[in-house]
Amino acid sequence: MNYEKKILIIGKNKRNNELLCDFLKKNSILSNGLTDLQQANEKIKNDKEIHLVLVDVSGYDRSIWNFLSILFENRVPFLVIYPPQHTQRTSPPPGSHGVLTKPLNPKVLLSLVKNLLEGE
Amino acid sequence: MENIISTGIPGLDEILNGGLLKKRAYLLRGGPGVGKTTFGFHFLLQGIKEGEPVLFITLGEPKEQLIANASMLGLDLEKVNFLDLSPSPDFFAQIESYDIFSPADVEREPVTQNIIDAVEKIKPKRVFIDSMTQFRYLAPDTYQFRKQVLSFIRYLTQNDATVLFTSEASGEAPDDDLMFLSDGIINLISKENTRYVCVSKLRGGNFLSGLHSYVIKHGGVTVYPRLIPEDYGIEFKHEILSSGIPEIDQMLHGGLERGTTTIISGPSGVGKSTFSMVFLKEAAGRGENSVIYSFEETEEKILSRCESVNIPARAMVKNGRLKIRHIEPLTILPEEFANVVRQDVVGYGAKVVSIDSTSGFEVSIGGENPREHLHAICRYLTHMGVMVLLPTEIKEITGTFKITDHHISYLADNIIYLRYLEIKGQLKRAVGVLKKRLSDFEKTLREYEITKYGIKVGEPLTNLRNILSGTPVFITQERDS
Repeated sequence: MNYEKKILIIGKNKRNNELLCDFLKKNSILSNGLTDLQQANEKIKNDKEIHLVLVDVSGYDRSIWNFLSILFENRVPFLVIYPPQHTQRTSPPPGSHGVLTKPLNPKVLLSLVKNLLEGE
Repeated sequence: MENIISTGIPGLDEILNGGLLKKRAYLLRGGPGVGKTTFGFHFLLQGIKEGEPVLFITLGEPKEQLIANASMLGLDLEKVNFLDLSPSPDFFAQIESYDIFSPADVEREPVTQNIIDAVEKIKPKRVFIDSMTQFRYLAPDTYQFRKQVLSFIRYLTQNDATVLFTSEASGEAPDDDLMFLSDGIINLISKENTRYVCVSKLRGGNFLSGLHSYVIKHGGVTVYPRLIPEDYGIEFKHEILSSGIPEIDQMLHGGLERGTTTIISGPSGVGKSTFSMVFLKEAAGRGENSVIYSFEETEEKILSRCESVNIPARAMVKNGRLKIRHIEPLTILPEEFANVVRQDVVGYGAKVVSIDSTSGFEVSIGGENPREHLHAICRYLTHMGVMVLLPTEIKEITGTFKITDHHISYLADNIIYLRYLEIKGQLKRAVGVLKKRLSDFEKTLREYEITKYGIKVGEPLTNLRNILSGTPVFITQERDS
């Protein structure tokens, strides 16, 4: 099944973004990655085709939380990716559709993404 | 044997009873710096020598570094095919580092594909993987790792390759699973500045057990198999060999027997080396070859000393009847020395050997138990019909009677002892025989002198008592007093 809906990947590590894009592409899901939060903000505002955002919070300063608030305010569905060994007790950021911890399980990720895209 | 291939390492094939079985996988394990990769160089270069395509799969050191390291050892890896799966510098610079998925999810597939591509292209007969441990990080759990390694090995061997792979065992990542998966295990151990190879498993073949030392120097690795005297032997008669000195022959009831070990014991300067030399001179006269392993004197000193006592050692060397090997302290391993001795017996045909001296041997050869090594060498030599002479120094000039300070008298079939005597304020020398396993011997002592014409031995000292104390008393004097 081909998914026409687009996913935006936000993460500081380019290689991580590439790997996520490659993985989604292999599963017929279109995506593109950005490292800069300002560019990401503009993309969210201008591109109404973004149906889901995956945000890897590692490596950003506190501005990442403002970015998540913007996603929430703009009612863009998003998943938050935490660094490895991140405590599970932390409450998910407001508006997030789920929290994942690195390294991601590809099967879990795919099923979550598909559910979100199909259910949107 | 057609099914066996050489490892390319002198000595290791002997330990492995000829080499490795074709189309099998062998584990080479050991800590850092023991030379695992160098063993691998030899394994692949032997393949090149035999015209086989070979493949080096590196997951640690990059290809260029491996080639440079091999070149420093005098090994040329130009014809070796490499599959370099080591991380590039970009990985450190974050261009390639990642943590979004586990390495098992990201790298296993491309790595596997790279290996398949290389194997299909090169069709190697020998594959060296350095190290298999790295694949552990590409498997999500131990079960998957075991399955993947088994399948990988099967893939390579079914494609006609013989596989040698290394492991880096540590407390956190033991390599027990790899030991079970392999057809053979070659352990490399570093202990007290000496490196040892020890085979602990070899499916479908026999091997020489125990620790065998090896060295890595220019030219690569050389393994010295442990000497097991029982594995060697020839048929020979215990013929009596003359010393060339009638009085000494009288004392020994004819001489010393072929295939026996003789300790020539005495204090410093009493003439032990000269006494052993007379047997070597006689051997040369019979047309037999002899070797002196000298741990103290240089060849020139020995030759000059012999010339001064009318033993034509220089001529014996010149006409090939005598070989003098001067061994510098701590430059040779015990097994390496045993290997030299074996070559001299088999290659040079030595019939008489002098290890001069036993204390020099103990100090120079080192090792954990030098006496055990000396024992093995003597037994090997006697099994091969060689007459062994062991000049052995004792510390005491006179006084308490002792044969050796090193508890080696059990090695000897024969014991000749040389003593200083003080008679009427003059220092004299006496020779006696204490033990002779294969015949009777004269029980009296005789005075001797070392002159420019050779060793002059007198009549038995029958009018002296307390000779072994070093300060004998004339029996007539005693009676008078």
